[in-house]
Order: sequence, then C-alpha cells, then structure tokens
Amino acid sequence: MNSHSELDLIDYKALYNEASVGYFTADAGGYIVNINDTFLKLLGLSREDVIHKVRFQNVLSIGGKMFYETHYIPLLQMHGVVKEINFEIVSAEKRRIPVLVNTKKSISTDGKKTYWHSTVFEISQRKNYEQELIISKKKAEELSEKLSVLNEELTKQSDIIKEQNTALEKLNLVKDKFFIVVAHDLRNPLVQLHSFVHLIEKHLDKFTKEQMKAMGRDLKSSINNTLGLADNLILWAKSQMKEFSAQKTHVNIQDIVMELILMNEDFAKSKSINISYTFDNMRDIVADKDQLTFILRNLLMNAIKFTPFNGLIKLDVFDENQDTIAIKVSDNGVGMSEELKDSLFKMASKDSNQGTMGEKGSGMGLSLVYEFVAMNGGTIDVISEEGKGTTFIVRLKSAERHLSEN
Amino acid sequence: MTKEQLVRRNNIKISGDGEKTMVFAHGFGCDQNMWRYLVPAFSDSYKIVLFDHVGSGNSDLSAYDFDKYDTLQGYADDIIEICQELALSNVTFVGHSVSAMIGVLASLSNNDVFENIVMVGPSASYINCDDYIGGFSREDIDELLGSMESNYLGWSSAMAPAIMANDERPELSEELANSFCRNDPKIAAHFAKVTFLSDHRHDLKNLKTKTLIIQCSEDVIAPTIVGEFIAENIESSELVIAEATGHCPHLSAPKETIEIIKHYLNSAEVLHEFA
Repeated sequence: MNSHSELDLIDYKALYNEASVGYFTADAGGYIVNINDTFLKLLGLSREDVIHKVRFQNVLSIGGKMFYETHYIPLLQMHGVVKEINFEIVSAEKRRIPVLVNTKKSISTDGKKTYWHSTVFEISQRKNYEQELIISKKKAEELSEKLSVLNEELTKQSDIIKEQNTALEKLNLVKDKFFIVVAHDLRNPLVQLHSFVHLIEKHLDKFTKEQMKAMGRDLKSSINNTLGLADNLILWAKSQMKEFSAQKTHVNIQDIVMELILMNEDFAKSKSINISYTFDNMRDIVADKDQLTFILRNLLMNAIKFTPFNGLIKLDVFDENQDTIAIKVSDNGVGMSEELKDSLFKMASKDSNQGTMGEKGSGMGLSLVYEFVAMNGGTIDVISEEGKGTTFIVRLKSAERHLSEN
Repeated sequence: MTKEQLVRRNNIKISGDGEKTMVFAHGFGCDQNMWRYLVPAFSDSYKIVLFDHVGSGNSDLSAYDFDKYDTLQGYADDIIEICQELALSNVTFVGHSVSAMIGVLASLSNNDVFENIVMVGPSASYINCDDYIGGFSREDIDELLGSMESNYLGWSSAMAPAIMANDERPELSEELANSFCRNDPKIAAHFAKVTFLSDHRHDLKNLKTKTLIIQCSEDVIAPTIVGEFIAENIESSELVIAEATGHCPHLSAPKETIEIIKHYLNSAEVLHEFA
C-alpha cells in the first residue's frame, strides 16, 4: 500500500523534463514538437526557440546532417526504429557534443499523424575513449604495416643468403676438384724425377752419355712445365686474395711477342710447328707489362700444345679502331667443342685437356688470362671449331700517342 | 565477365513484366532496398532491374577496386555493362543522389543506353565554388569524411542486431535487415570521398537524354538551387520540386514520388506518339 502511494507521488512531467537523457519528439516533417529540459540545456536553447521551429538535423554538425540524410532517415523510413546512432550536436554556444540517438516511430491515436520519439544520450567521455581507441588502432595498423615490410625485407635477405650459400658450396666443389687436378699434375714430374734418380743410383754405368743427356732434357722440360704450373698457382692464389692490381704503362707489344716466340721456339720446333706474325699497330698498348706477357705466353703455349705436327700458328697485332688494339692468336689445331668453349675461362670446372703430345695443364692458365684481361680493361673472345683450329682475340686500350720511331 | 558473374557482382534482381525497363540505382549510404516502396507501382508495366553498386549492400565486396571506383565513371561503366549484358532496351534509369550523375556519365559514354533519366535529389557538385552553390564548403565535406570514420566504430558491425529486432515491419526479411545500409567502413569512406568531391557540372551540357529532376524542399544534401542549376544545364530536362522534405522522397513520400515519375513518363510517352 505504501509503495502504491509513493508511485502516485511521482511527477511524470518532472521525470520527463529532468531525466538524465534528452527527449524530443518530431513530426513527420522533422520539426521538433516536444522536448525535455535536459536536451534544451544541452542545446543551450529555450523551448520557444525550438518548438515547431527547429528540425533535429538543424542542430547537427555538417557531417551529421549528411549522415542524417543518407543513413538515419532511410533506416527510420524502412524500419520505424533506429538505435545507437552517433551524431555530433552543435549547441548554441557552438560546443560540439557527441550523442547517441535512439528513435522510434509512433502513430497518433487517431491514426492520422506520424511522430518520431527520440532519446539523446550524451557520450562525451565515451567519445574520448573511442578517439583513443581509434588512435591506438591506427598506430597498431601502422606498426603491423611496418612489421610486414620488415618481414618482407628479412625474407628477401634470407633468400639472398641461401643463394650465396649455394654459390659458395658450388665454388668449394670446384676448388676441391681443382686441387686434385693440380696435385695430379705435380705428381707426374716427381715420378719422372724419382725414376731418373733411381736409374742414376742403380744403373748409372748401363747408359751412354748421350742417353743420359736425352733423359736430362726430357726431365728439364718436365720440370719447366712444373715450374710454370707452380708460378701459375702462386699467381692464381694472389688473384683470389685480390692482391693484384694492374700497373698500367705504355707497352711495346712487338718486343713482348718476339721474346715469347724466341722462348718457345724449341717447344714449337719439337712439333715442327711454324709460327708467323704481323704487326700493323700504330700505337703502344696501355697495360700491365707482366700481366700482358702472362696473357700472351699462355695463349701461345696453348696454341702450340693443341696444334699437331706441321701445324701453323699466327700472331697478328693491329689497330682495331682509334682506341683499341687487337692481338689475334690463331692456330689450325684440334679446336674445341661448344661446351668446352663455354667453360673455357672458368677455373678448372673440368679436367684440363691434354695437348696433342699429352702436354699437361691445370686449366688455371686461361682463367688467369681472363682475369688479367679484365683487370687491364680489355676483352677476350674465342672463335673455335673442332678439328679446324682456334683463334683468341684480345682487345686492349691503345696509347694516345703514336709509336716512337725506334 | 559472364552474366552470372555480373549478377553476383552487382547483386542484380530482376522482376516485373514489360517491354520497357526501369533500372533503379541507389545513392551513397544504402542499397537497392531503398526502392521497395516505388517498385510495386511500376512492376506491372515495366521490367524492373535492381542492383547494388559494387562495395554497397550485398554486392561482391571483393570486386571493389579502389582505382576503378576512384571516379564515378567506374560505377557508370558497370551500369553500361549491366544494360548490355542483360540486353535491356527502352531503359528508364532512376538514380538517387550520386547515382543521378553516374547515370549522366553512363549516358554520355553510350548514348543508346537510356531512353529517359529520372534524377532523385541529384547534385552536380557539392562544394560551393565561385557563383555556384553546391550547399557545402570544402571544410564541411572534410568534416563529413571525418565523421564517417568516427561513426563507423559504433555503426558498421553493431548496427545489424538493432535492425533485426524490428517487430513493426515483419515483411522485412532477416537477410535484408542484415545488409541494409551496412557498408564496409573503408569502402564507404572511399565512396563518400569520391561522391562528395565529384564535380560533373560541365558534363550536363553534353547530355542529350530526356531527364526528369525531382528535387525536395529542405534537402540538406541537394538544395533546390542545385536542382535548378542541373535543369538549366541539361538540354531536355524537366524539374519538379516535390512537397516532400529531405533527401529521400522515395522513402518518406513514395506516393508523391511515384506520381511525379508516372506523370512524366506518361507525358513523355504521349509526346513520343505525337512525334
């Protein structure tokens, strides 16, 4: 009984006006026809200013107005009710107040008029919280973006490392093979030396002087080969450690070629090979003299090695153009297959070919030739056909001034 | 693109009978369901084609290409594709809000595609510029684009349950309740930007298609002065200021909207017969 009388005491009008949320009712045209004190206070307007004069969208921010037309009204017209729509209200003092609005359609008792009842709930604090969330979300998104970029970068680097690893493993294999070839080549002359010493020790008196001399010559040439191999090995090791640089000077190519021909005369004669040469260059070559000598010695020795009895070797030096001198070393020897040509300048990727007389080689010479040519800013090309012969063309920079008369 | 793929991409719904066709294009913020009070009035005499713009409603969101839809032409191309793929003829194109200009672009790209255009609450450009009054300043538009973002936090995913609890209109299916006016926030923000920064005032003069412009009084998005500007610039156009207020007369005053459209189409027909 008590509770009943207490309920009777509630002033519903005051409850409406002083409620902790804003209330308003709009007619079909959107005009506010009823509003409570709470909402008026929020707006900073008087009841007279509002009733039948103001439509709800009039108190919204511009963004809110457009949202009202494109979302709120269509939803209301379709469903008769919307809940928790976030608007920004602009008060008379131009204060922006975020609110949540619930609206429900209501038909007048005579069924003729439509009204829209709305509740307006201020959410300033929650909005601040939302803003913080949005900022955090954006930061998180940015971080995640950065992470994915980093991740991609890492994956790329890891791929590169994998590739490098594979290349290194390959190179290691090549070097292993190379050592076997070199060791094998070094062993041969030692075996020869060993048997020579054995003969001297045990059977010295059974050989004539002439026979001893002939054996000595053979041994000497074999040891010479080995020395050449050892020299190459040292050069190669240095080049691997990047100790080389080309000390470029003006080099008289004719002097070098003539000296090389002289040095290899015996070797050529032993196979009855004829060496011819022409010099049509007007200028010196700019190159490291020792390296150029090495290049030409290897090309010439190779030519002799791979040319059979009674063969021909030609050395031609000429100005290819104003800046370039070409040195052509050609033979009519055994030539080489396409496959061999492709791997020619790579270090010992296969067993070295033997010469026509079984001459040895480590395959190191040509790889060094290639490196030296490159170091001197030149190029090297090879033209070869199996059974017909081989031509190497080395192109190097020529000096600016003409050859001196002497 | 096959017909089936196209139907899926734009969530195309075809109904009604008739040799003539009406294609309805929704504006920014909603989807094809906003036409449901209008469609029954025309489905006796027209074939009705409803669709959602890619990125809206139940369209295929994965087809949303931020480059393609960076201008309204992207949407216009879709409509031409729809008309051609479905072999639609004698088309009356009804475009609400931004779709009115999309219709103009489609018609300019392919003059044969529409017989009539009906614009509901159109705007050729939203931003005030020299003598032109579009209704908004650049700052206003920036504010809208900003408010899109803040609203979507509580809007996009939380909206659906509220709509589903709707007892007053049982005819609205659950499927509809789930999709209506619910957009992917990123796409909606992009669509809003493309819409409200678009300026197609100069295209109006080239339009040859007969056009009806329905403008409401007290439309925040498209003031009547914008409707007048459009009418002045389109060669064969007719402007009707509806009694309805707001931006969506087809929702708030469907009866009046239907009458205006029917009256226009009938008189166009009569004129056509006399010609």
